[in-house]
Amino acid sequence: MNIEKRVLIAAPLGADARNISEVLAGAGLEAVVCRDLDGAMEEMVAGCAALLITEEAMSSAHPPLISRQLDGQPAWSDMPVVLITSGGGQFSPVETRATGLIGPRANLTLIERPLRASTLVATMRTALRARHRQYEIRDLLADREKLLASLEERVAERTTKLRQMVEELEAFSYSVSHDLRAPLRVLDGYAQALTEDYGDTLDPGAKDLLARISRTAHRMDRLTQDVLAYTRVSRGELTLEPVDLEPMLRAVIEQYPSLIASSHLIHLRPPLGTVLGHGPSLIQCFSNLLENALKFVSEGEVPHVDIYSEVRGDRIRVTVADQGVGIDPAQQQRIFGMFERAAAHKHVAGTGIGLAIVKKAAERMGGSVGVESAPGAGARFWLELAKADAGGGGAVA
Amino acid sequence: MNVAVSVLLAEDNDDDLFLSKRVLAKAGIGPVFHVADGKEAMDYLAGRGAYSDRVLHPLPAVILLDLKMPFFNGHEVLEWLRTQPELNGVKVYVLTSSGEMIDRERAAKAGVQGYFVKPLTLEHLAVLKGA
Repeated sequence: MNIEKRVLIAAPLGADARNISEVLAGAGLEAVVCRDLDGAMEEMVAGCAALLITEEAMSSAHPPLISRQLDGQPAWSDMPVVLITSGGGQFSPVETRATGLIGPRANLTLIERPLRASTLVATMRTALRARHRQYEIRDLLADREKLLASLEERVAERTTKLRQMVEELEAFSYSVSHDLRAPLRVLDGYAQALTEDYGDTLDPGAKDLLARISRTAHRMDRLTQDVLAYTRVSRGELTLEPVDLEPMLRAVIEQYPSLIASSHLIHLRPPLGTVLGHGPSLIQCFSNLLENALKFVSEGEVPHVDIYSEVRGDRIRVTVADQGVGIDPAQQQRIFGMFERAAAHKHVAGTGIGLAIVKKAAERMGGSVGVESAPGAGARFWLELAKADAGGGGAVA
Repeated sequence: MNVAVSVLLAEDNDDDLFLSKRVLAKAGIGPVFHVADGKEAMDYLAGRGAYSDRVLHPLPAVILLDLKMPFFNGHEVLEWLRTQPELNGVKVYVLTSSGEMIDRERAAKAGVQGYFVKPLTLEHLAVLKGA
């Protein structure tokens, strides 16, 4: 017998149960006779397609058991219950109780005595068809669950792989910073040693060549560092959190090796506010912008750099303003590209990666960068990021 | 002006060794002893094996410790040093090509006297002369 297709019968009076089950068997329907309604309720847990009960079965039943069993059905299930009533046109007290108890919890159908076999069979067929649909929904739900589980598994797998890649990249960056830079430092060291130890016996041409070797080693070292920084801001994991700009910028100005000597030329104009950003990336951005602001001045001019911010809706725009040589409007978009440098400033040392790092970092933090400038009128580089409000933060890019 | 500060250079790279020794000589700091990896560094400091003769291999006043070395790296040497109370008097300075925060923090936690990023300079050694 297929448990899912069986009809549970609770008809305690006389030969009712036997008669009913014979009628159903004659129609090819599977039926199981239970001792009473409580018994049917217990049996239901194992599985059944419908319950067929007589009014008399209600009187001996325990309502808490019925409501508990019916309430305990899974979401897809709406158990068909067919109640055979005594008829007579009036609602009997038992019928009213049954309707109140079962009606809200299951798919209840009432049929009246005197009972005709054809009515009973047709009603039960309808009930079984309804149940069959429910089984289909159940199976679809199960399929969906399975699919979701496998999707989740795949997502978890990908995440693990991605994390491994990030870790490998970190390890690679670390190794690059050690291994690739070491020979450059040594090269520079030897050139310097040669100058210091044998400077007296070298003519100016030879000294100049040694100075060129040193400069080249420095440039290559800087290039290595910049490529590394770019790799970090573009590939590393970025956790955005509130960053108070003023102490962060103060630390950059006072502690960044390339800025310490010029820190008195950089003026913070508080209040600067708190943005949603990634601390190390922000430090990278502002140290690059500040190095540029100090670097691009006319011959003999003392740099003067201001940092101020303004709130623009839900964002904060921080501006690094210098009074240097400025940038031709035609070049202003290009300079944010990798290895791009404004043509007018080829004599100023640089790798052409600094602003690309700033742009990439800003994008990774959900922000943007830009510049306002004109030749001779200084440059105002700005970085715009989401304003961190109280309780904000914690987003992952 | 020569200052008698015995230095143990733990350095696996010949170029770095050459350049560091040169700066030490320039600063007039010596004598300088050398080990080429983390294991040799530990053996030297403990006076074990090839380094058991303390006349030839005296306990140095200062160690200049590279971080990236074969067998045991500098961090491992630092950890080992913490378990050797009789070496408490030896001043340890890290001399590395790594300016990474993670290395600095780890070294600071291990209680080093200073952290120098290569190349070794006279400014670095000015600190050391007071040692």
